[in-house]
Amino acid sequence: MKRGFTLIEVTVAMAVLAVAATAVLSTLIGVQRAALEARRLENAQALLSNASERVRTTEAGALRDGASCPGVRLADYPYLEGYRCVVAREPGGPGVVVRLLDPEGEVYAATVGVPR
Amino acid sequence: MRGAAGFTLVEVAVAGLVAGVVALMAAMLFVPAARIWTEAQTSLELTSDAAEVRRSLTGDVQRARSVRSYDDRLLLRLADGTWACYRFEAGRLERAGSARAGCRGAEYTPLTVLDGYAGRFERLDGAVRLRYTQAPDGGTLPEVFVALRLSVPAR
Repeated sequence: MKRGFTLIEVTVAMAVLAVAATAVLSTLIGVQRAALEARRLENAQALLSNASERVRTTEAGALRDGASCPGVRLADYPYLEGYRCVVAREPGGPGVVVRLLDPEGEVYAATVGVPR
Repeated sequence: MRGAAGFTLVEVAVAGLVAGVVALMAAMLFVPAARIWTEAQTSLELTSDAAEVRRSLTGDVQRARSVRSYDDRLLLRLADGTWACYRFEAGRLERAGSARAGCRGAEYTPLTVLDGYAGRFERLDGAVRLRYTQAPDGGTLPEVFVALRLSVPAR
């Protein structure tokens, strides 16, 4: 009598392999998403840092509420498509609030700069 | 020899076919998986490189008393009299710290893990800017713009 695998055993093995392959791929896709999110966060941090530094080299009178961040070109930040950077005077203080707005207009991140 | 145990030609052919199909499926999984993994790793290393360069350059420029820029090199004399120098070399951005003017004879340490970077340092009115002209993934990286804090003679 010959021994071998039954059709069911082979099917189950293939199914297990397919599930394992799917799990590996979905994990890798998760890693890829995390890497892209890290790039986006790095872009956001770079933008806020550059914007607050540029505020420091700008005369206070040249900054109006709601104006775009001085010297910042959003095309240089490829992971922030649709985002906007605006400045607003800090109430009661010498500083300027630099806000990064997401495509829905919500504040995504912000920092404070001090004009010259 | 009749009655000897073994595989028939058909069994071997079927087994070979099944093994081929499984190997093909494994290859189809492996190739995109390897690509995704490599891209993700490069992206994370780029992020890390950019953050490290920004952290280092910002700290040094904020403490700089004088600045000299020569396209792909930047020399900073710091408030304590020492020098911090940056240069692009073999696709990497390197930094040296030295007590000697212009970091002469100093050993440079790479700030970036990846290679394939190129860029230009610019001395602007009251600020220093690093613009990347090339990144390892073929894309671009945001500039690093840092305002000078201390009195710096114009050059």
